[in-house]
Amino acid sequence: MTGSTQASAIAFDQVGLTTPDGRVILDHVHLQIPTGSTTALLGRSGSGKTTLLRTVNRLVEPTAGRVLVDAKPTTDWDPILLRRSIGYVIQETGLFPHFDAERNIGAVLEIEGRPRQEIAERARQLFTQVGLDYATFARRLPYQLSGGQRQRVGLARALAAEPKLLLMDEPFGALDPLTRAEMQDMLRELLRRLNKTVLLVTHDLDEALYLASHIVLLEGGKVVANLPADEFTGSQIPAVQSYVRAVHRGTLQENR
Amino acid sequence: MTGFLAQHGSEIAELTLEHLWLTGSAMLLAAAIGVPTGIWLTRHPRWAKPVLGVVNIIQTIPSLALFGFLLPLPWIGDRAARIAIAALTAYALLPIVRNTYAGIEGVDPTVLEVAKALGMTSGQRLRKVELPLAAGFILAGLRTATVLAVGIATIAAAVGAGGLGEFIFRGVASVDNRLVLAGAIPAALLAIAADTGLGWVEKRLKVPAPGRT
Repeated sequence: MTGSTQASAIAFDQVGLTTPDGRVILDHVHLQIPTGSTTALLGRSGSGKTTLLRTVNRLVEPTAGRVLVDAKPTTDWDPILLRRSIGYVIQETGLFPHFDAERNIGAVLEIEGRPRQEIAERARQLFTQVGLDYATFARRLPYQLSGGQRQRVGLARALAAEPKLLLMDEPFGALDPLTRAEMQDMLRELLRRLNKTVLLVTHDLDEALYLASHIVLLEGGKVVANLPADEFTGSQIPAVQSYVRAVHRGTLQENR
Repeated sequence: MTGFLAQHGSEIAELTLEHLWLTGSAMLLAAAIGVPTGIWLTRHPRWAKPVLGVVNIIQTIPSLALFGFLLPLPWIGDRAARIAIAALTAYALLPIVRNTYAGIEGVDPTVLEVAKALGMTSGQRLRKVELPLAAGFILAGLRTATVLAVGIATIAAAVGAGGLGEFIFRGVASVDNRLVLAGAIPAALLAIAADTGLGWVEKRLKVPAPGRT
């Protein structure tokens, strides 16, 4: 283990993924995710950002290189323990449809076999943290919640076991712009207080700029830029410039 | 009519109980074999086709012939009731295995992946996610199988296993429609009761009730 990877919560060490039919999904990805940072993986559809995220909790196994979590290769972790120590949020459909909101939130604690009392107390705390009223929402099933409420429950579930690491895959992708802005505010506020290392997949530049301290731009499975968020839009890297331009063009058309 | 009932009432009750016992034991056995088999197939999908093929073929064997095939078997062939239960179990397998398999296969892959990502073991995924979400489907299979078994059990009387088929066979032999109906009507009522009862449970399982179980 090299010294440079030790300070990182996650390190991607020349990670590659090639499908059996020869398509290259990830191409020598070499990245350190600093502890306590929020890093956005930005890129268009098919750039490999979601796949890269999923190598961290071993939902996907790379075909080359290795991923280190807490300076330990993920292949040396017990996959069950690895996953329980990492919070995971995805867009829209991630809640268990047959668990009510409270049981969804306590799911990780439940499978860890924590005492009922502890789970119930923790769930109440989390309801407050993500801005949901316990009495109103605890017994609701996912289909009885709005998109934003579901996302809050999903976030609370990811936080329940107090993981140091949080993986978020387009968490607000399915929400309308207003709800999305609300959720981004809530998340920013929450992350400011909780001191987690967050890896956030998004194709939304504004979201990345608003939430992340670092932005990694992926293209065709390769890292084309890895910059502090405040240097991103001013960067001279052509790939970054064209991504920023594409977003700006959309904004200009909307303002017309 | 009242005279007929007075004469045969206790026998009707007795044979109905016997009928219930035959189908009930067969259903318990079939569920005990069929549900685990269906689950196993979802873990070993390569076997799904051949196994479902075999249970499918069993169901195409005419029931009278199946009773006959079982007659010479050791232990099973010794008692008529064993033959009947074995045959009914074999018939009930198809809907149970098929629905268990299809029900679990039909669970939203996103939900399963989240279960995995949260760190559920494969046993926890089965118990907490797959089985509860497939429960409605599995129960529908049990219901189909039960209705089927109640009907086929009437033929068990042909090998001397008793049940309501007794009346039907006797009625046919003596050209007495009252006897035929004395077997057919309670059998039909049993089938309807099983269908309604299990249908009710199925409905309750399908839309998951709020709250903890």
